[in-house]
Formats: sequence, structure tokens, C-alpha cells
Amino acid sequence: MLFLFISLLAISQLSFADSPFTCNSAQFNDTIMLCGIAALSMFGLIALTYIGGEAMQSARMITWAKTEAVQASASLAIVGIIIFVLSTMCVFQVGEFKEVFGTTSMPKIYQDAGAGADNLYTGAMRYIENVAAVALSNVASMRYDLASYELRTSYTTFECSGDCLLSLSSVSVSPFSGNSMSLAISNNMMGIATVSYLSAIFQYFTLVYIYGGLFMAFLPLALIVRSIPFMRHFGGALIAIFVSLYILYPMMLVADAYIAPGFVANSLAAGAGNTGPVVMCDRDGRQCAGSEVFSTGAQTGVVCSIGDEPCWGHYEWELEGIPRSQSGVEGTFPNDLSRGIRLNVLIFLTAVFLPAMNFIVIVAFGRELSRFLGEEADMSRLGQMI
Amino acid sequence: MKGKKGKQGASVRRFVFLALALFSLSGLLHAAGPNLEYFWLALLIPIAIIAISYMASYAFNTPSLRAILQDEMLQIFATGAIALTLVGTQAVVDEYVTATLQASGATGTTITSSMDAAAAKIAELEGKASGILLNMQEATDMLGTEASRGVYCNFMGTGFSLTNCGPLNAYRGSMTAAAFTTTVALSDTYAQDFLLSLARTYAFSIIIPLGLILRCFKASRMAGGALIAIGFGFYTVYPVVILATDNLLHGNQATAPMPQNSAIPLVGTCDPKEPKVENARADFVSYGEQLTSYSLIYGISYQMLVRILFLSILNLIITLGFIRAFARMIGSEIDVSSLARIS
Repeated sequence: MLFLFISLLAISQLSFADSPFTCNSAQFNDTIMLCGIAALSMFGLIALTYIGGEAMQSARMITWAKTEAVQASASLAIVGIIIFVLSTMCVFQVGEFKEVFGTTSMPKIYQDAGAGADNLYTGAMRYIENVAAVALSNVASMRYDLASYELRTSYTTFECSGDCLLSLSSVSVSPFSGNSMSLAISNNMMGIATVSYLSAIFQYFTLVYIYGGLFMAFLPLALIVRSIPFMRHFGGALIAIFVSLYILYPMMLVADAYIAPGFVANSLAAGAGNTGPVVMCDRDGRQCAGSEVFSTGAQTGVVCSIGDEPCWGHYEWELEGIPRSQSGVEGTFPNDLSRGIRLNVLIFLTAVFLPAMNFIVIVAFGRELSRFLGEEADMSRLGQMI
Repeated sequence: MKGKKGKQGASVRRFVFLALALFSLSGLLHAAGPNLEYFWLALLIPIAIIAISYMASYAFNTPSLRAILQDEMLQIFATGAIALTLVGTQAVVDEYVTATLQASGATGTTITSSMDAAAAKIAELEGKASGILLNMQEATDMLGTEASRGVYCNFMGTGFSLTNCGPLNAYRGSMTAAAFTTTVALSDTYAQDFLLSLARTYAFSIIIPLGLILRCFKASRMAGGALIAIGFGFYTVYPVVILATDNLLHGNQATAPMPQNSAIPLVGTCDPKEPKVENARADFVSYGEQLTSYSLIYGISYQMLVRILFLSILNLIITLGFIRAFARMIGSEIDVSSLARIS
């Protein structure tokens, strides 16, 4: 067992590059050292108890020491396996999936980033950063539409009839007053866009928190707790939570990165009724940052446009300078409602539906693993955060 | 010794049977059907790991590990059987649905699977909802312009305002409420379209194979079951439910055609200088009668509220119900209520 543990650690050490977050060798060394100290302390305590049991001829103490020695070894083995898996994830590059699924299926975000050289951790972070960015771009697009509709609905013109010079009579018209319906709908969509953005940001910070090392402190703690009688089941639950969030969550995010372009694959396929790519209007000048989440080597799922068909109009800061004439106000051109709804739904599914699916899998995994290791942990609350 | 050899022989026979069955069933599938290469991969990886572990159990002389590995091998067979069931069911469903659609004459030559037929149905609903929304937008834009017309006169320091057209504003609130509903309906059709697209592209190539791999290991068995159920539910059950509920809703088209939406009337030009109030009122009442006519509201309500909104919720409820039940059947206990929030 000891040989196995040392071998796994030795292999793991080979895989640490000086990359940020999880795969930082210094962080791993600290964790392994903490685990080692925890294991040595536990084995020391067991040895002392065994010696004491022999000295006092206490069969109960000897039995306890033997049982705990087995359990401490089991904990050590679990930690060894976890560290081995983590190190494998640090070595594995997301681009290697293309050997399985083909280059055409490889997400654009990974192709752009050094031809898929990201490991699973940086790959998961890159994906969620892009989702948050595209959700923010969508918020900017909605913000522009709202501002444009506000301008249009509040614009009033006076039509001077023939006798107006004499009697100062005129007809007042608000030519875009009917846009108030579109304004109300856009307002509603802005709420959905905000929910999507908050969901993406929540996942981003969750990932930062997971990568930040707190869970690396959990592992030694879980090792100690699992070795203490009466607390073994709790320790098992801690390990299950650690594994679920630290290993499965980034894996699921990378899987999401691969499947997210699938949302628009049907629309892009040739055929009657297929509506083509989703259009995003670049209103904040960031070239629709993050929209490549929906693109692969073979498809562009979201087309970014500005100042041209179908995204006539301006950048949002240019609304300040438009002339307050009918043609000026008319020229603000908010996005077509149906197009905006389509984009909004796509981003909602990516930022809310897919993570909800992830958490179903993670919770199922965590529950089974915790049951296997001791006590069943109820992680269903995690999914409710989405 | 003889018993052990017999047991191993039975395992090999089971595996060969499984492989042959999977191979032969894959031939039954349509060209448009799922790609099964990844199924092989998903089953071969765990088998390789078990085989290596089995050899290691001899190297380290741990018979207890062998017993565990034999149980795990059984689980791989069970997972293979699940894979067979999925492939077989998908083949049968596609055959049945396309044959039914062709028999009813309601399908074109491009539809070769239930997924195609469901996608075509959703595209039709998308066109309907976006058309109605566009029509509402047009009607409201014109209504807003006309309702905003007013006259202002100033003579000898005394000002008068005449807002003959103002009463038309009364219809704008209801139009906006109707547009909200249409927006939700349109969002639902887009969501269904995206989900079908995702399932078609990746259910059988990533989601289910990943589930099969995870299901082969004890610690991740529930997670694997969840993925298999979600992938299969959205690939096979969801399209069938979309087709079935829509067809069941209006039954025989020949004898009882479904109500269709007609165009929302546009308001006529309003003259703000019209001196007679009764004329302005007559225009207001006339447009109101057109807007609230039974046939107009009946058609739009049927299409938006019943055919799109109600059915999209029903489709999702049935699919999620299936996913939950199927997950339980293959050894996973999951709470799918969080997926229902898209409806």
C-alpha cells in the first residue's frame, strides 16, 4: 500500500507545471505535506495505542489500533488516488479530445487558446469565463435596446399645419410611441439576461473558490477526520464533497464547452426552416466577447454584427450624440425582437440549463461516493444555487 | 477449478453476445441515427481497466479484489445491456415514427427520424409565434402613433388641447399583455429547438457514452445513470412526445381542422382635428370590435396558449418524468426538478 502511495505521488509530481490555480506544484506540495503530517500523526497515535495496549495487555486497545491502522491506510490510499487523478487532470489537455471527437467538434475557445493546450482546470475556467463574457455582452445588447426604445417612445414631433403661424396651432405626434410594447418586452428580457449573467458569474466565482485552495485544505482535514472513530462517516462525506467539486465539476464544465455549440447545430444545417446562426449585436464594442462558446472548427454559432444588416444602429455610448430629430431617433435601430429573444434563450440555456444538468450529475456522484465512503451527504442544495 | 473456468467462459460468451448484438443493432439504425462508435469506446475503456486490475490482483495476490472486480464486470455487462436497449429502442422508435408519418402523408422526404420530424414541427411553431409577434409589433406601433396624435391651438393667449385619438391608448395595455405571452411562447419554441439540436448533436456521441463510462464504476454509477437518462430522454423521448402531444391535440385534421390565427387588424388613420366626438368614438369602437373578435382571439389563443405554451410545458414534464423513472430503473436516484425551470 505504501509502495503504491509513493508511486502515485511520484508520478503526480512529474505532471505539475507552473500553471495557475490547481496545478501549481507549490500548492500541491503543501497539500501533500499536510496529508503526510496528518497520516504520520494518526499512525503515531495508533502506534502509541498499540504499545500501550501491549504494555497493559488490553485486547480492546490492540484491536482498536489494528482497526484504525487499516482505516488510516484506506484513507491514505484514497488520498493517493485523488492526487493521482488531480495530477492526471493537470496533464490532460482538452485538445486531446479532438482525437476522439474530431477537429471539427473542437470548441473554438480551445482552438484559439494554443490549439487546446489547456488542461482540464484551465479549460473549465476558460469556458466559464467565456460564458460570463457572452452573458455580459447580451446584457449590453439588451441595455442598448432599452435605451433606444426609451429614446424613441419619448420622442414627440409637432406638425405645423397651414394656419399654425397665425394661431400657433399644431398637431403633436409621437411616431414611435407604439414601441412601448417592445420596450416592455425588452425589459422582461433584460431580467432573463441578468439572471443568466448572474448564474454564469456565480459559477465563475464557485470555480475560483474551488481552485483557490480551500478544498485542498479540506483533503488533509478529511483524512484526519476519517481516521477518528465516530467521525469516519463524516470524513468520508467530506472526501466525497471534495472529489465532486474538485474533480467532477471542472470535468463537467469542459464537457459543456464541447456540447454548447450543439445548441445551434440544427439551425446551421442546410434545410428548409433552419434559421441560421444566432445574431448578436455588438453594442459595447467588445466584439461580442465570449460568443465563440457556440463555435467550433466547423461552425460559427453566433454571428457578431454592428452597424450593418441585421444590426443597424450604434454602439451604446454613441446614443448620447445622436441628433434629436426623427431620422436621428429612428436611426437608433434596436435589435429585432425575435432575434433578441433567440439569443437570450440560447444564453439562458447555456448559463442556467446546462449547469443545472451538471449539478444533477455532481449531486448524484457525490451522494453515491459519500455513501461508499461512509455517510450519505446531501448536496442537493448546491444545485439550487443555479 | 472447473466451476471457475465455466464462470469465466460464461462471461466471455456474454461479452461476445453483447458485442454481436450491439453490432447487428447498429446496422438497423438510419443513416441519420446516432453514431455508435463512442458506445464501443465507452464500454471498452472500463473493460480494459478491469482487466488490468484483474491482472494486478494476481500480481499482488489479493483474491478479495478479484471478487469485487467480477461484480464490477457484471455491472459492465449490465451497462452494455442498457446500451443495447437504448440503441434498439431508438431504432424502433425512428422506424415507427417515420412509417407513421409517411403513412399519414404528413412528412417530406427529408424526414428520416423522429428527431427530424420534431425539429420540423418546432420550426413550424417558431414561424407561427414569430409571425404573430411581428404582427403584434406592427399593430402596436401603428396604434401608438395614431393614439399619440393631438392638436394644440393657441389663440390670443388661450391654449386648447384636443386629444381625439387618445382613447386608442386603451388597447395598448392588452396588446402588450398579449405580446408578453407570445414572447414567452416564442422563447419556449426556441428553447425546444435548441434542446433538440443539442440532443441530436451530442446525446449519442458525448452525453450517453460519458454516462456509460461513469456507470461502469461503483462510485460514479449514479452520475452515469443520470447522464444516460438525460441523454436518452432528450434524444428519444422528447421528440416523440413533441410529435405525439401536438398530433393528439387536434386529432383528425380532415374532419376537424385546427383553428388558425388570422392577421391582427391595423388601426386606421386617426384625425385629431375631427370636431365630432361621435365620429372619433365610432372609430374607437369599430377598431375595438375588430381586435376582440372571437375568431381572431380564438385562433391566436389556440396557437399560442394551447399549442405552444401548454404543450411545451407538458412535453417537458413528460420527458423529465421519464428521465427520473428511467434513471431510477438503471440505478440512479436524481432530482430533475431543476431542469423544469426552463418552461
